Amino acid sequence: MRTFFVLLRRELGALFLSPIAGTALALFLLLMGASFTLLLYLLAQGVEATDGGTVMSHLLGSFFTWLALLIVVPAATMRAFAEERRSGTFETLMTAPVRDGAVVLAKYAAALVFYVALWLPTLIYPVALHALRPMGAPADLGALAAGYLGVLLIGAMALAAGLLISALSRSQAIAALGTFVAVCVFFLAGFIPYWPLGLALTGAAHYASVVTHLLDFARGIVDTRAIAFYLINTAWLLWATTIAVESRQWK
Amino acid sequence: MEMNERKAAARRASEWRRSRRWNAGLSLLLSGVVAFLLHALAIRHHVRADWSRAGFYRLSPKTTGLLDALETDIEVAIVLKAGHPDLQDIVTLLREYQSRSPRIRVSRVDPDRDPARLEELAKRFPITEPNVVVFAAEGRARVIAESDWIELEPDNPGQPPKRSPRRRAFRGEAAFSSAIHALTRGERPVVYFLEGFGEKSLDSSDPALGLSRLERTIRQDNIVARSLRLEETGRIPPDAAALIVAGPRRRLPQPALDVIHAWLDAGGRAIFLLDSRVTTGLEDLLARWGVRVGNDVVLDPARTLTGLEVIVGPYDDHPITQPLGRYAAVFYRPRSVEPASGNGEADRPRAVRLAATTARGWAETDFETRPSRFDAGQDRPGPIGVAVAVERGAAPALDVQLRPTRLVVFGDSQFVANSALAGANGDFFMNALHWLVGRPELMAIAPKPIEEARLNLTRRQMRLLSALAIAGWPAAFALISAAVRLRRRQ
Repeated sequence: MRTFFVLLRRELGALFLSPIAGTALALFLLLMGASFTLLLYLLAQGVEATDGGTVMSHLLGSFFTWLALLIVVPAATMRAFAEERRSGTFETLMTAPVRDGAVVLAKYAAALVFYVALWLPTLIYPVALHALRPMGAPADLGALAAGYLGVLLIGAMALAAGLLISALSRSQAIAALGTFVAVCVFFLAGFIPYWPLGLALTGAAHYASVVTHLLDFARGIVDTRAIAFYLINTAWLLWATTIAVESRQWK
Repeated sequence: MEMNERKAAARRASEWRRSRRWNAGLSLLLSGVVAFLLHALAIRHHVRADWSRAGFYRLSPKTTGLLDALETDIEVAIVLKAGHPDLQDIVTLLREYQSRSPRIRVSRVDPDRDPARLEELAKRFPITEPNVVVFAAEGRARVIAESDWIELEPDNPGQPPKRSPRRRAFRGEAAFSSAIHALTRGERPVVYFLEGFGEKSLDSSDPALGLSRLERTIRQDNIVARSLRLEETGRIPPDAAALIVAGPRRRLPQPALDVIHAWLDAGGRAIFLLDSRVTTGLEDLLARWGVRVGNDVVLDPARTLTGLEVIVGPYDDHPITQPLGRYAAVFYRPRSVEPASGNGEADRPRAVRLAATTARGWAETDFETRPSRFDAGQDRPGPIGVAVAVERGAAPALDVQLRPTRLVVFGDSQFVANSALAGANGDFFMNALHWLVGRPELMAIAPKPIEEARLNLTRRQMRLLSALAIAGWPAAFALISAAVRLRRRQ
């Protein structure tokens, strides 16, 4: 356990002090700021609150969230293993008396902390909206909490995928590109249940649709199926990452 | 010798690597299988919670009960163009149905992009309108049309109709659940509308005198509505689940009144819609059932728009009115209908008031003076009842299980006419009908009002806020991060 925290400290330091961190944060807040501005314009025109005032679903469930994920997830994970390999510290790390699983978990935890830290400043939007007191849109803390839970879960899975890709890649650039493509695929595959396809497919497709999940979470729906989907996938991806890291040593 | 040893070592190493690789592959495969099984388990056993305060798409207990009891697959086809204002609401609501029951299978047909599938659907189901949702099971189908699921802001009289009227309430759940109910429950009760004494007509589409829209609503709820001419049949058919007397304009002859009374006495069930300033003879009949129907016009300046109509609600507590919540019904110059005094004694009809005016309303008896005003001593002060439900159970002393008689009396028939069937009017009537025919599971599911969220900001405020959100906030964090890195480097 102590080694895990030593590793986590090392990873957090490397991640937060990397030049990429500040850029990613600024870009991320710019995108979410744009999403918030869009919401303000919608509200100024008057928007039908069919979710009975859950106007925040426009903020978290919008296209901007996906755009933001496309930037944030590769930024958080691309250097995890690829950078170690480039700088030659990978062997040192692997021969150190720590288990591979602990290394993977520490890197993952660091990426997750970074991800959460990025989202924290966005909490100012609901506060600002509440202060502006829009008519017909009461603050809905339940929906807001569910929305952030969804963002956290989707991020958790995407980060685990990013970590696996980083473990398999030779360079940061390849890792970043691979993660970018993976998030894109997740997102696009999420639209499958919305294509007019066969009937039988749609049930399972909804289960695996990140688009459906984010829209649901953003309007306050918390379904154990969605939670299970992300937790199972995250666990499996981390397990696969550990195996990938181990197998690197046999070369 | 040395060479051989080295070769052997290399071989051992390669075997070790191979076996490790096999191990890794196997463990990935096995964990993949475990993950797959866990996914399957998660799909089978799940809980769905709604944390939002409003719960716009939250299903009512009636719908969840209906869905949990489903034994056949229900195929749902959403036939709507992309960009239809109700599409998102319908898709999201039906997803809640799907999440509740795996027997609900939803597909979407875009009539513009997929005319072939539309044609195929139109062959199988009676699709007559462009925007519909089709429910089908075991070869039977229900087609739900736009007017069933959405309530739009009515056009102002004298003004051209708006191109995209504001949506006022979404009643998708009521429409969809009653379609599912109709498909899965076999029996179709028959109700008879009395005709021949100037009543409103079932098959007329006249805005003021027709009930064709009500007939359609009744049909949607899997009830058959027929008209009945007492002077021809001389009796109420034995298959009648309920009799409806919708606003007669003439006095009913005594034989007809006797038939109705005898039928009610034998456990019949009926709805009476009686307009003001008409004497039909039913007033005396109803008095025997514990209902006092006044010869007056009920007015309520506190709850009216033009002075002619009375907006009723909040309602009195009764199974009929409970699902309506705060959703108001509108009556047009109703007459007073109230429980008669001395009501509530054992084995006598028990009459309960359903809706009334506020205390500012009154029952006007002087029809000539205009404008009407309350004359103390002459007019009865409010609250004045405008609807009553009556139930008379079998006498407890008798050991016979008789069907209890049930009546609902409304002081207005105009409120269910074609032009007036909006707001809670249809629900009020249908709830009464469902109560009569003993189908509480179909009592209306309250529509969800669609509110408009709006923010009042000046252009300057707007610009300032956007600048802060897009530039200020990100820049602040970029600066902090740069400062931290600079300090670390020093």
